[in-house]
Amino acid sequence: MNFKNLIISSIFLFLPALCVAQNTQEATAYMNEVSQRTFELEDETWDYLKAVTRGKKARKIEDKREELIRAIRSAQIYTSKKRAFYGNTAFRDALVNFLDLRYTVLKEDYDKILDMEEIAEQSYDAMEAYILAKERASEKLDSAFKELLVAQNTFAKTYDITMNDDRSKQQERIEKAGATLKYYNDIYLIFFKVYKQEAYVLVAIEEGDISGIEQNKSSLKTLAEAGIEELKEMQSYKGDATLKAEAIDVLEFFKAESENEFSGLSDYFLKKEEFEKMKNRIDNASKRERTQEMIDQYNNAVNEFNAANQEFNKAMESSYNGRVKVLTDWDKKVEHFITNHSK
Amino acid sequence: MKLISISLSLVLLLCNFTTLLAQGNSYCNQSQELYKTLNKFHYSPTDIDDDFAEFVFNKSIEALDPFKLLFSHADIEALDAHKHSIDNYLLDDKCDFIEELTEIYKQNLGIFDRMSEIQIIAAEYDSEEQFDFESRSYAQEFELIGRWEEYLKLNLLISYFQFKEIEESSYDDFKAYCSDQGEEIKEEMICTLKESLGERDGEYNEVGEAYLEAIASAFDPHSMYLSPSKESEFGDHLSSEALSFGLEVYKNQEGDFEVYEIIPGGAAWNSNQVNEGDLINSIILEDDLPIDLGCMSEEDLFELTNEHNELTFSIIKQDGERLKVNLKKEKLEVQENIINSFVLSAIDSSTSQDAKSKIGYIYLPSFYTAESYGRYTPDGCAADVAKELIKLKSEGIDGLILDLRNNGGGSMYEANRLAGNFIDFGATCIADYKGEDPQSIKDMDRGMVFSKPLVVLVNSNSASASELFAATMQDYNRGLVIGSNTFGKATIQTILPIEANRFQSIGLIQPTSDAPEGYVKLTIGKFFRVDGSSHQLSGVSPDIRLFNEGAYSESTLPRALSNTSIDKKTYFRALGALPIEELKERQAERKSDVQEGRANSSNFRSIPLGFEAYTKFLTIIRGNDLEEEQDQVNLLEINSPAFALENKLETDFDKERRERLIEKIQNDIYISESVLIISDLIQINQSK
Repeated sequence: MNFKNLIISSIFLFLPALCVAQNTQEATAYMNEVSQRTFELEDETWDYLKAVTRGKKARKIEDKREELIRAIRSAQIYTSKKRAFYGNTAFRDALVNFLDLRYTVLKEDYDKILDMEEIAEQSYDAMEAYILAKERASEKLDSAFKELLVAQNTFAKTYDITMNDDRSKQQERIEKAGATLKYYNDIYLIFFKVYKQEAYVLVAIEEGDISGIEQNKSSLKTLAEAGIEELKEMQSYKGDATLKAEAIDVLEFFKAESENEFSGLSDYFLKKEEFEKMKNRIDNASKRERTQEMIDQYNNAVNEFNAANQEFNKAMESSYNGRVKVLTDWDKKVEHFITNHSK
Repeated sequence: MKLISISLSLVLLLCNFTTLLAQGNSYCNQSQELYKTLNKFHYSPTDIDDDFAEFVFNKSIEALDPFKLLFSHADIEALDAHKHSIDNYLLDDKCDFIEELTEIYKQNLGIFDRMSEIQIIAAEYDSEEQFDFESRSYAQEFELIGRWEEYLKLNLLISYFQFKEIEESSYDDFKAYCSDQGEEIKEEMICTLKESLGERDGEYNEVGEAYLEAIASAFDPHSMYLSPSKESEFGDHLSSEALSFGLEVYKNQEGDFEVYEIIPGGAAWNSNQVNEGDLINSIILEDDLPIDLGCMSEEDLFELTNEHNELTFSIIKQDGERLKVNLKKEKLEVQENIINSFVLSAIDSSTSQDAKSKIGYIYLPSFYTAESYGRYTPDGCAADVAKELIKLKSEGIDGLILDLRNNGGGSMYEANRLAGNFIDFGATCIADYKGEDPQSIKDMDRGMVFSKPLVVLVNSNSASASELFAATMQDYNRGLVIGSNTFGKATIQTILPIEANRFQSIGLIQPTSDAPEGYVKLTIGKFFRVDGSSHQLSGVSPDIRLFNEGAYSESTLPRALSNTSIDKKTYFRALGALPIEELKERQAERKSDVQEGRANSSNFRSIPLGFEAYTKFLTIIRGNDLEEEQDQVNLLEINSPAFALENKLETDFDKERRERLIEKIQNDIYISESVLIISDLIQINQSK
């Protein structure tokens, strides 16, 4: 499980139109010239998206991402050097601004565009801060794109250019895959919050941290229940409810795990601690001090603790097997869903 | 409060005198290092000026001679030339003050040669004399011996009443006591004084120590110089895994060290050779050299045992048998840190008859922590409280009283984790360290161990981490804070070797157990509430006041840091407001036994030395202690939660300890009042 697919879909937004219908030749030529390199980014964008949606290796995805980042940077520099159109720089500047933001977001240099201190403060942990930063960055990119559209329309209107809404095949493919990823992201975030919460319980078990176990397992149940409700409210994707249903299955598992396998954890650790102290005391007692009553009581405690130990191991095994199964199923469904809807 | 605890529990008032080990005469150099370290790393370094100099001057002398028995008026005049120069001495590497102070101190210890002049005349105990320890001025030289006479008189009174009820005492009995044991007590006093004033070893380290302590405390009341042995004492207090011989001793009436407690699982316990009531008459070091404990003070014995991990104790059993017991230190739980929990319910209450809530009760004496290789482990007090909470939850408690009275603080990390047991998640406070951006401290465990109503009981001895916790519970509307204003300490300290100034930053300093020059505990930061405000000086105000503050708090301490606020974004989700006004009304209607605004009579400035007057004085003090315990029997039903294991082995030691605690709870009117208040809170919540 990783973040390979958690991509801000706004980076796949493109200017909606090529300026084909031309009333004012010079202005149209200028507009095409300014946007030319931006349109050419389609190739790198599609390569990157293809790598992501077709389950390529992380290294390959990373290479494609870097290629796209370089291409955006070069497009931004190229665009910023374009002249003004009779003193009018609004369209050019909006485009440069959008490319700049797109570059920053793709590089994940969030501190340049966001108040990361505020994001850290608002977030429960580093992972939540990362997700929140992505959400905020996405909002910024969306709004920069809207500003770009306004600038484009204003320029077209001013110089009497008629816009054409035609899409290239490539653009359509990018938009389709981008929309699929967006739907997946929405579900993934709900899944991930609960998945991560379960990991916190497991860390607390590993450390024998009773306070951590008690707190995190109660949260696991609360978060799983809230996640299930949220998922139920979501629409299917183009009639396909499989991803949503699979996510609900995973969360149902976490909920049941918190109620069953994890229910006796704190009690087990308390018993363990008491037993160890008792054993220590018996081990250190001299022969004279070891009364029959003490020995009988200790033997009973040994049996009691062994039984508790068995229960604990059984619960941990059941939790492990259950987890492996739901997560394997989830991974398969995700792969299938994305491939299916990105073709 | 300070005086009372001394006068009632110790034979000798001189326990505050500095008693430290020989470290060579390099205090002047050490003072430079100490000053540089404080100046470099202190959160708010003080100006080094005449005020600073005067403070260090007075504080050094006061530490050596708190009761004005040692230095004469003429001595102080002779030293006066240094009063406003100590700042310059520190900057210019000069040793004039400490050298002259040492010289005068040395000469003045000659007073012991004249002690034999002091006659013990029991008949003199009908005078109006007072032992005035605060406001009097320094004596003329010829008056000093008279002051020692007073001091001996006071010691005889304290010694007599230590094991005597007031009703059983009489002037005649006291006179008999004086003629029987007076000389012996006098010799014992002189012997112990010589020991603790450094007269025996002839090195006079006490002067240097007093000077270093004065310099540190001039920065703020919580910055202090720690000799290598003191640093370990401080650490023991906070860690539940300190190495120890596992026995506790006290100096009995005869001046012998008597074993009064053996800690289960500790080295002495495991040797099977030491019992409570045994006397320790000497300690044998590795080189077979026996050290006679005859005139050794408790502090000195502590330091001696602290220095060695293996010692042979020469012990006299109660039947007269003598034996040598070799002990090696082992890890054990610091006894005062073991947490016990109880289930309380009010037996009879006029207003809460129908709502007999089961209330959990936990007393937390300090915020101790468990560390392993310099890293915190989850086994500190927050985890111990969580374990008790889990047991209490299975008993079906409806609410919890967490008693933090007299909890002087400890680890901030644990305070944050403890808060985490009661809140979902979010910032609990803001820490501001020198030279760094302020950072919010967060509860990193989502969820709660206990989510039902909570009452936090505090008093003016609840300090630091206790205040942080109480403030967080208030800010989240999570717990009702009751009692009195807390102490008012919102500063953070760390312990560094005194030569730490040679490092660029604190982070680069390796923790070391070997700093022969000693350590400094210094204030490196402040902490703030989640809204950026602070309880420094003011303390955390209780939502419901049950009693008045004691006389001792941060605001009464000289050179305490000021109350400031901080601007920092924090996010936390507070719960709905608590029905404080309604709870107050209900409490008023109950005509509670707890009288708000109880007079604080512990603020004495002198002690009468006449037998009758002293008896009256003692009646007031002891009466004060008793007052809170009157008529408190059977207000509460008190039970212990069940163990997790059905077959848990409980030793007699555990049982005794638990019974003692139950008796203490039974006699505490503030606990029963807290039970009534939290029961009201539960009832109000249910009726909503």
